[in-house]
Amino acid sequence: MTDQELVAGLIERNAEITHRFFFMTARPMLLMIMRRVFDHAPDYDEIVNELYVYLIKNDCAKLRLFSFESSFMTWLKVVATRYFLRYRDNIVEDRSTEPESPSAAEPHDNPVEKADARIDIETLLGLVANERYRWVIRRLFIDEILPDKVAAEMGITLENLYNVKRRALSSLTVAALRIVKL
Amino acid sequence: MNKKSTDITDELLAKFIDGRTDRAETERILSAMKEDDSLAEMLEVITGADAGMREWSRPRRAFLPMSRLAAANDKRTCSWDCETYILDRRSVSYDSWNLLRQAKINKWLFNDGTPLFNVGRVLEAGGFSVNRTYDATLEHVRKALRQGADVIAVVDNNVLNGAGSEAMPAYHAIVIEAVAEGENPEISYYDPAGPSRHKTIAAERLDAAWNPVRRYLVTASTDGGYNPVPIDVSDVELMDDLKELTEAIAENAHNVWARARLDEGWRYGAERNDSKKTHPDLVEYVRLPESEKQYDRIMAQNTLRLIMSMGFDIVDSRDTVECPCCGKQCRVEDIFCSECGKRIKL
Repeated sequence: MTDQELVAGLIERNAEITHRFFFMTARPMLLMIMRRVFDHAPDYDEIVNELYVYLIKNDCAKLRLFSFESSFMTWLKVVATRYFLRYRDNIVEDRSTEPESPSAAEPHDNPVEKADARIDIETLLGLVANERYRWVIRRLFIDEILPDKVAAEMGITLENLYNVKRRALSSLTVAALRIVKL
Repeated sequence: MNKKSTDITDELLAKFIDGRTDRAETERILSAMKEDDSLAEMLEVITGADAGMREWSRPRRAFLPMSRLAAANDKRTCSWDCETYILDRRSVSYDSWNLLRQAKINKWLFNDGTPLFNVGRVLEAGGFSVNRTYDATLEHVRKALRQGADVIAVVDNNVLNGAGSEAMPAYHAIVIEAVAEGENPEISYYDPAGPSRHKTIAAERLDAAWNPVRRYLVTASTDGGYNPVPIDVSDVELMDDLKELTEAIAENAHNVWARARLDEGWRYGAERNDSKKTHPDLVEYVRLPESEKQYDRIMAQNTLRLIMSMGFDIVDSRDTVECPCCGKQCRVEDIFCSECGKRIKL
């Protein structure tokens, strides 16, 4: 089942697709997130039902924000994490009526003023232990080589390159988290 | 510290996690983490959950083969043959008819071979002190031989005979009689199968045949030396929910022990006294000293690790799904049923 079919099924309130997705396919991932957010995890059925209601409220406003620029599972992982954190902090609110479009100008308003807040990729790369990950990020982001060329250099498919890039960005995130916590 | 929220959308963050952001987007997200506590926490939760999922789906270490030794010959008695060979070599007199009867009554032998954990039972009946261990090394073998012990190794007979490891494993017992010195020494061994019983082989080949059986080794000596070598399960990581389970197992193990003692007439006493049947640990688990609780916890954890190491899964039944074809309870993250092979996922 493609993400398109899955999202369409959820929007159409297809009971079988919805149940299978939330109570089978996504369950291990959602449980894994719950265990990291809550000290005493609430009942899975209860909180996932609430998450589901949040997604389909107002004619599936939140669900319709999914732009297919990532996999649906990853998107749900992000949405669920944000929702669970708000739930934990008792600040769950319905933002689905206000599509979250980036007020894109803000982070770029004043690059000089923001300079101290920026985390530079080149600096972070030094904290990534995996040489392959470092190389992929360097080629793609710093040398600005096109992905198909990087894939060819590595002798892997473009799809595999994206898998490597995904893991490399994950390592970069862990490195950034270490800096943030300092 | 309560930093302001930034405007990183769920869609952009998902794109980043999937590795699809460009440099500018990536830097924007990583920089926003410095300003936005909640974003940093989100990414911490997500990277932790991803690591948990990878761990969950990671192939486990080679499990301990419990399959029966069945490769020796048509009679499937390689273990029996090795052990009686040792008894003969040591000039231990035995009544083979009675010994065989004892083996059958005690279920040491099955028609389809000897269970691994029963290798050495015949020697035990012959008065030997037997130790069984996994993950043994050639150094263990050398040491045992130097100390005058007899050594049985369980190997994959197909690999031992030069066939590839792709073939179905054929677990087989041999008696190792000597290990030469050097880097790749020759090993002399007794093989109950085949026309030639006494053979030599390079250590490399023995290693290749021994590894699939987790280097299972049985040593037997007549001096009564007991040297327990528990299976090393330290590299088996328990999931968080199993760690919680250990506390329940530890408490129950204590209750089982205490119930049995109380039924036998023991009662609480400040000092252990075997004649008066008093014991200081005959109290509720919660009142046990921490050192005693820790002992029970370690026992529980190592038991769980051992079960997993042996290739079994411990599955929360709430996290299973019934195969629509055969009804087997499968893990929710499985795509195909392990019983009938039907697709069970969307």
